[in-house]
Amino acid sequence: MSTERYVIGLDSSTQSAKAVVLDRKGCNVAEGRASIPLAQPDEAHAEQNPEDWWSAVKNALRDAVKTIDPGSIDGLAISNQRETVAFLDDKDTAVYPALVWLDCRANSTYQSYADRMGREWLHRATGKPIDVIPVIYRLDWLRRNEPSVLERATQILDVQGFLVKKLTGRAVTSPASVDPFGLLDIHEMDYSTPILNSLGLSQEQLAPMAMSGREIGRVSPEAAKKTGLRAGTPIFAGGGDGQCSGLGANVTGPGNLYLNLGTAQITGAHSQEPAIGLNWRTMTAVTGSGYHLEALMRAGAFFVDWLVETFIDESKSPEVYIRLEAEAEKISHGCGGLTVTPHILGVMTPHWDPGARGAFAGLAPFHTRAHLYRASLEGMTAEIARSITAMRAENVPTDRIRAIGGGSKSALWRQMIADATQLPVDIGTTAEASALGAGIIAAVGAGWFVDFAEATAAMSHVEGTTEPEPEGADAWAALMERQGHLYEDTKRYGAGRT
Amino acid sequence: MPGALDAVRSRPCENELEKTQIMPDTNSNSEPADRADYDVFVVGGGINGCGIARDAAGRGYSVGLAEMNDLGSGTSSWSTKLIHGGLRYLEHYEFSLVRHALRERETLWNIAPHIIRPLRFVLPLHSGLRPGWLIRIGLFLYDHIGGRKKLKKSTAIDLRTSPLGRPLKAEFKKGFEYSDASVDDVRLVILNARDAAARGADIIVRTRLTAARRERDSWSLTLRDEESGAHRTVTARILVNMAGPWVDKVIADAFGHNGPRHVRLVKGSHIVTRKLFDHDRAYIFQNADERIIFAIPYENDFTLVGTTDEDFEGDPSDVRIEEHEIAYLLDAASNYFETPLSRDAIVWHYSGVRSLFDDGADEAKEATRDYVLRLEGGRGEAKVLQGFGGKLTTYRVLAEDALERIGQAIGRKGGTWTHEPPLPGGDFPTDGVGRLEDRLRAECPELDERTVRRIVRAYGTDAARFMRAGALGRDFGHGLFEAEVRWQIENEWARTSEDVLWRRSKLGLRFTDEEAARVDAFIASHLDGTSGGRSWRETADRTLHSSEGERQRGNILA
Ligand SMILES: Cc1cc2nc3c(=O)[nH]c(=O)nc-3n(C[C@H](O)[C@H](O)[C@H](O)COP(=O)(O)OP(=O)(O)OC[C@H]3O[C@@H](n4cnc5c(N)ncnc54)[C@H](O)[C@@H]3O)c2cc1C
Repeated sequence: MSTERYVIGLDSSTQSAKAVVLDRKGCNVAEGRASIPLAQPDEAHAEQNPEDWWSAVKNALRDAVKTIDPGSIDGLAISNQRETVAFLDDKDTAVYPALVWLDCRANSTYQSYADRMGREWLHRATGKPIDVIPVIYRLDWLRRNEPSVLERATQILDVQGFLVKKLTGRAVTSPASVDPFGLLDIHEMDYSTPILNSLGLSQEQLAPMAMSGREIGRVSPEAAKKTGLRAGTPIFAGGGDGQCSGLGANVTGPGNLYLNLGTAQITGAHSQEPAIGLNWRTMTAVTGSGYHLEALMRAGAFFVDWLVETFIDESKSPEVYIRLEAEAEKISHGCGGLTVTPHILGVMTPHWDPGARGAFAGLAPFHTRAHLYRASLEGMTAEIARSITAMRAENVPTDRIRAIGGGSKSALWRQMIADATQLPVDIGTTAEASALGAGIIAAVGAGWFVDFAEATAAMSHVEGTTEPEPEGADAWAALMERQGHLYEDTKRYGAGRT
Repeated sequence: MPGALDAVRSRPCENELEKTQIMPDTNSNSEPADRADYDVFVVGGGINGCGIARDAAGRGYSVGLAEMNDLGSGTSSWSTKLIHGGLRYLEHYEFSLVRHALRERETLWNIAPHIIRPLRFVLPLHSGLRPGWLIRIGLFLYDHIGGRKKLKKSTAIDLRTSPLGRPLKAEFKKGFEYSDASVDDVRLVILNARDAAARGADIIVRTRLTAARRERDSWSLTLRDEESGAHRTVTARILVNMAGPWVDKVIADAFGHNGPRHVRLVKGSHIVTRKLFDHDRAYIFQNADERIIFAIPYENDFTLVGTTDEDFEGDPSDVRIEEHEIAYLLDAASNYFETPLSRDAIVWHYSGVRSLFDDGADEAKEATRDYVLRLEGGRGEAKVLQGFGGKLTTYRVLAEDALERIGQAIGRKGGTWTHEPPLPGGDFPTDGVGRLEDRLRAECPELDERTVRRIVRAYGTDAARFMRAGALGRDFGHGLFEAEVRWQIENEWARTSEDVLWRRSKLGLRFTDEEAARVDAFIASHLDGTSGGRSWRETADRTLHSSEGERQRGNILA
């Protein structure tokens, strides 16, 4: 039998659970995945059954360790979908469906909750600009509309807390998983008493927290049977998938940024201080020694896919993208004045306007499909670059960017980002940055490395780098300026406005 | 305990629901209670009792406090003398405990800048023990969650090049430095008692509570003067039991209850050695058993090393260091210091026990350090508030919390106020110690440098009230003058040389028997024979428990 040791990064995301078995070099030696059903009965609701999270995790883990000696696994850490909450009673039975981060039933109430708490206070205490996504607004909605849920739910858990309970028998979570809920006072790293009081919650209803990387329990004999893990395998506190993917992308300290060019898009930077601003939301880092500033674009790759599918080619086949990319590369910077905002799902940073709409402005007869495509990438790039500029203005060091997610495959896009920000853009090798991040946490917890920086250096790798071209800087500054006005100029066309 | 209404674990920021579980006593303004001698009667003159007495008196309650021995003679004088957040509690997820403690560092420093000083701690990384990443997280939280303003941030240090690495073995290459604060523990008690008295409280020392009887909505309390043996009775609307490790004993003796035990006693011992290093930082060492010990510069010429941590059964008045504890501390320190520590470096040692609310945690080091307050008594009945656990660091918030409960029981008076007004002698800025020293030097040029520092750091601006040019009186040696002893007798309840030499100062480390006897003789004459106080010999035996202590007590610096 091999003497190689492994850790597992378990990523419980919105649509699936992925268990990745990693070695010391961060190589993915085995994996398992299973999908999780999501109920979206209408536009405002998004619900799951927490038991489905556990079924998917059981299946994913069983598959992952099929070919691995479970005794060679030194520990596991969880990366979880973030603003998703389960409501259980004493017997661990769900008293209400789990509300998934996509759920926006609180659309009609969140503003008044924020007003009640004091908007500035709430933003400062939680680090989260006023926006429907943090769980506190849904808890407030329940308090108003279904008060019995919060009374019957003796355990209100994030996904990590729930899964840890299943694995070890005791629900424990981490600040990095609770923080996205908006329940944490990020300056105190603890549940905020005024917020708990405003929701009529007591701390007993919430899971205790341990810093990411601390051992929080061991796999119980019962869970061992169901997952194929060895009973006694240590579980280390993990964190939210956004922060985990930042860790997987090497953001362990000042200077490194990550850019998740996924369905939704995140530009994340490490900040030593809990800087508060509208250009990002402030999130507790999994390294425990700092914060991530996350600039967010709700429609990232989603926007590109929508554009291509709607206007260019329904098949969305890879060839379509290759062709478009080649055509777009020939178009000169600025697309002859065509300017795009990608806010088809509303805008988060920096305007926090869920009713915003996207816009194509400056169309002319010579514009082609490829112009639409290129102008869209330029628009999104401008959004990213402006948020990085705002971070710099807060003295957040920005040295290089690590791009991950589907969009990072586009060489054209990477070059745009490098030129607009004048920073080198590294391409991450792994498609599963969140699972890798969780694996890195487990590796640190298991004592493989002295700290997170050493662990990421060993386990997180780069495929190549796109260097910025200095000549591009001025043209980009002009484009960013022009694109920056489009939101304000078209604001009146937002949803529900006359 | 029968009639217990409340067993709420007390955290300073508990939610409102918990607080309202105790209904305000609607009878509290009825006749008998109005005629009580005191609104609030506190048992125990340790930091918690004196802190509550001060807060309550400042809010306008009439307050009495009985201390069976000298103020601060219990656990409050046997501490490590730190105002600290407790880095290692973070590992037990005790965020809120640590946060409140961290906040208190600067609050207390501001109100008592004479007896509280910032102290930098050097924490060497030890391969195989707590990994660097974990320590870094702890220090990050330490720097951030406690509202740090004036204290310096933590930094990484290279022990190979830094002078701070010099006393350590070469294998310690990396470390961190962070801030906490040190405090003169007994003086913190005394200053709270003085301020309580200044605000109208009766501080009754050498007086034991021997019986407590409920008379409907007030208490009838029997007090015995430990010096004369005389008894007297006082009445109070609420009784506050802050007897530290004796809290159970008060319940058993005074109430005649033999209910289930509330407290677990945990013992901690320190050794004081000749100075082990020549800088002003302290060391914090991790041990293989996951405990930590400190090595702290102490009284100029010494180093304080501690503490052990073990369960204790027995009489809290009779705690002694044991051989294995001495060995443990010597070993633990020798693991780090280049020059191993031997027994003959020890000049003094002491042991104390703390009370912990018995919450079933199985190992001493895992038990919660948070305090617990319980308000007991049925509707219409006089209430007793019992306190368990706590730290010097959190005494002020504990007192605020206690006053909240007292308000519920006997009706509210005033609001929180103790976060700003300085303790006696502390009415100067945190960076003003040097100026006070200059002033004292100018006033009394005959004082040596060490004495100037000692006096200013004990009395602050009050020093100017008794350290007057040409009026210092008899010289007892080692920088102790009659003026200071008089001040302690007249303003600080001192009655024996032990009170003067081992509590209100630590000059006992330098005094010989004969020198101390002179202090006793002076006190006896000054008190005009009314003291009947213990002789130096008797008190010293209690302080220096072992024969070795006796031997070392001679002029150890000679
Ligand atoms: C080894 C050790 C190290 C510590 N180090 C630190 C530290 O560095 N920092 C920190 O913040 N905390 C520290 N602590 C904790 C701190 O010392 C205690 O929490 C604190 O002193 C408790 O104070 P207290 O007033 O509750 O009890 P005590 O100081 O014990 O006071 C109780 C008083 O009640 C009196 N009494 C008892 N029965 C009666 C009666 N029947 N009638 C009248 N009076 C009575 C006693 O004589 C005593 O003086 C340490 C504790 C220990 C044991």
